[in-house]
Amino acid sequence: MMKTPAMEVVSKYHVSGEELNREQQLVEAAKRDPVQFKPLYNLYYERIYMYIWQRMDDKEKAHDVTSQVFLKAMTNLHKYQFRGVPFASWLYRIAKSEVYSVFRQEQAQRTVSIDTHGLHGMMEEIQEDPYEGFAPLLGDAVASLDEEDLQLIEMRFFEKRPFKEIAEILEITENNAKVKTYRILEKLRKKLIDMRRAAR
Amino acid sequence: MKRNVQFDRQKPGSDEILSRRNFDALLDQYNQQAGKVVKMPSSRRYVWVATAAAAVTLLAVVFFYTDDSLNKGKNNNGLANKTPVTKDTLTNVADAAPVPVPAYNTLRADAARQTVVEAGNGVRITLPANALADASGAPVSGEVELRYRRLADPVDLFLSDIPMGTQNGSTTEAYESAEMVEMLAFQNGQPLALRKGQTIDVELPAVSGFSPYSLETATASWIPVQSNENTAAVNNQLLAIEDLSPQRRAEYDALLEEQRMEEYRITAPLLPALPAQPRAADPKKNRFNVDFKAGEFPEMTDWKNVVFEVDESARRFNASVYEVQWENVTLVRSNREGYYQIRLEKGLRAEKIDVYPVLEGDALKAAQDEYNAAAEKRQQILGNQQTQLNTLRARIAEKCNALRRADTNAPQNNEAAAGKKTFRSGHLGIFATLRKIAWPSSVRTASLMLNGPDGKAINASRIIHVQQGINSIFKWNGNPAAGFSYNAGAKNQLWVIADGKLWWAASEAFTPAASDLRITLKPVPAQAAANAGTLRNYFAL
Repeated sequence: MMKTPAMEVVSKYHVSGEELNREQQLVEAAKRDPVQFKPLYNLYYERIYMYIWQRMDDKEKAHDVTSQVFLKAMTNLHKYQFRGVPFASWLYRIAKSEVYSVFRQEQAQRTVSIDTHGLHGMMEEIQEDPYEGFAPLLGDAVASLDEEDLQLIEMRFFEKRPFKEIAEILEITENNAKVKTYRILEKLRKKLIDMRRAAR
Repeated sequence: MKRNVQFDRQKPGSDEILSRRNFDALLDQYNQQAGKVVKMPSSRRYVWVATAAAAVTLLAVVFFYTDDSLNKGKNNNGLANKTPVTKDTLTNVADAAPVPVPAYNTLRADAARQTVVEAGNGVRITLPANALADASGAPVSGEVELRYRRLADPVDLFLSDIPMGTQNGSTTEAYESAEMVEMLAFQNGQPLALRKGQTIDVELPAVSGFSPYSLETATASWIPVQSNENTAAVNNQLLAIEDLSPQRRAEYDALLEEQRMEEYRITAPLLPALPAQPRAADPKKNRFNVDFKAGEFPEMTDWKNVVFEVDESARRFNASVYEVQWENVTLVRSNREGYYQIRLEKGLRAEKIDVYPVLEGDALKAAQDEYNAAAEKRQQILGNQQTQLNTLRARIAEKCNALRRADTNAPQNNEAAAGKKTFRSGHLGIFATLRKIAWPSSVRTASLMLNGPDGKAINASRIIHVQQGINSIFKWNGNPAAGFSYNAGAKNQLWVIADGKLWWAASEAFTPAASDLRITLKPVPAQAAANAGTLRNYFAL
């Protein structure tokens, strides 16, 4: 039986209600005066950059795209509506859209940055008896997932985001994020079993 | 979609990422796409469209934005096209305005052999054999390109955007330079760095009272190089960040995280709202008087007797609208900051007229006073924030460098060179002999308001004050610049970047001395800004 996906997560994403209110004040101020966007830019630059870098091979290009994300955020800030979640989730959605836009326009390869430690975490989730030799196979299996499934897996296991954050970025419910992750892991487990049989 | 699978990529460090933040550039980019210069026609008409004139229905506040606003950044790729800034390079003023960057000299060398670069005026840099590595840390062989330049005077410092200010407790000071040199290395256009454990020897002319420094471009701060009796044999090797031990790297990253959170805490308090900047009415322009509900346009609530001048920059004005008794008159905001649209309807006929509010007489003066007071207050807050940020960054930079020095075990250079300050550096970049001086303020202090030739305040992104005889630049942010100080007995100049253009004011603009200094800037002609030399001749400081 597969375990519940409950690995340790690393995130600076979640903040207290007070901090959310403060952040929202900053957003409202920035809507009136673009100079006030600076604290938000300073706070989130690194996180957005890392999100983009994770999906791109080129560091410099990742910086360029990060700049474009913040430019779009400033340009469209008047459309932003507070929904009780961190401002970062909106920035991540812009980043996601911008990254795919670059891939489409430049017909560039989408990078899948696989962290071996995260891969082993996945092995533990889907197998009772992790077998080291399957890690590269699992990596290949992950990379062959369709885009929506891949995003979920990489955010969960390679970027170590909590389900709540993943749900807010992908605009689904937290429960839905968990269920989808469970199904993808199940899919990967079956794929691995097939691979193991083929290897014998 | 094609995929490129990579296992365990080396993640870029926080410092590397954060050094690339550049909010000013982002704001410039945003402002460039947000508004354009508007030129007005000169015919004069004056008409009242008011409640008394017709059945006027006022006024729904309608925000309208173009549907493609999400794509605005797509074709406006200035940020994306910028030259990459590495830890060993700085941005240049040329990034913000059409001005030149001080040229580099280029020397092609064999990476496997020692190379001595003579930069002029006794500046010498010795690069050992096999000392260079690429971005991944791998040793480099074959032909490399060494780029070097001396930054000799305030024009060079300005164009290269060298940080020359420093904070001593609550006192702002400046560095004055006796000599400054920058050296970078490239192969196939890609920047190179020194290999782990490798150093270069830097020799600068010894000048009494000046000490050697190295510029830490990640934090834009000058780090003093330990000197031995002000002559030679100093060791300033800072270990490359990626070569720190895991424990020290963790401490280093924690310091940067602390800096980031502190920067957020310092800059997060809301600035007081700045009222809309009032514009003076032009009697030659077409205009309307519109009776609007003040509550729906709070930005104009405090203004008396507002009239709306016609903006014909995008749409030609049809004077026949004055002849019609309109049934509906609506004022709405434009998607351009400070602009509105009057919509007129009668039967099947409808007209849209782009306008902007203007004031005249006492109402204009009162609005300008209010705007200036708010701008000054805001500038004071920004100035205080900047002071806190400078102090914070200096403190963190010192701690970070202490961590990097603590791991260093570089050999000492014991060969003193007479009349030289010689030291070793574990990185390429910018080196100088500097001394701290007081900010020019001995005679007068003033708050500074800068206007363009049309008498309107300009939106300055950089204000550089220079004083003849001092090899430094004094940087101010924003216009007006609160607490501006200068030496009224000296020859002063201002070099200003505003709206992507270079402006200046000669020393005559500083007289008569006044506690509230209002200076009208002149644009620098393109031919004068052709290169650093022509600019130097033009300013003739």
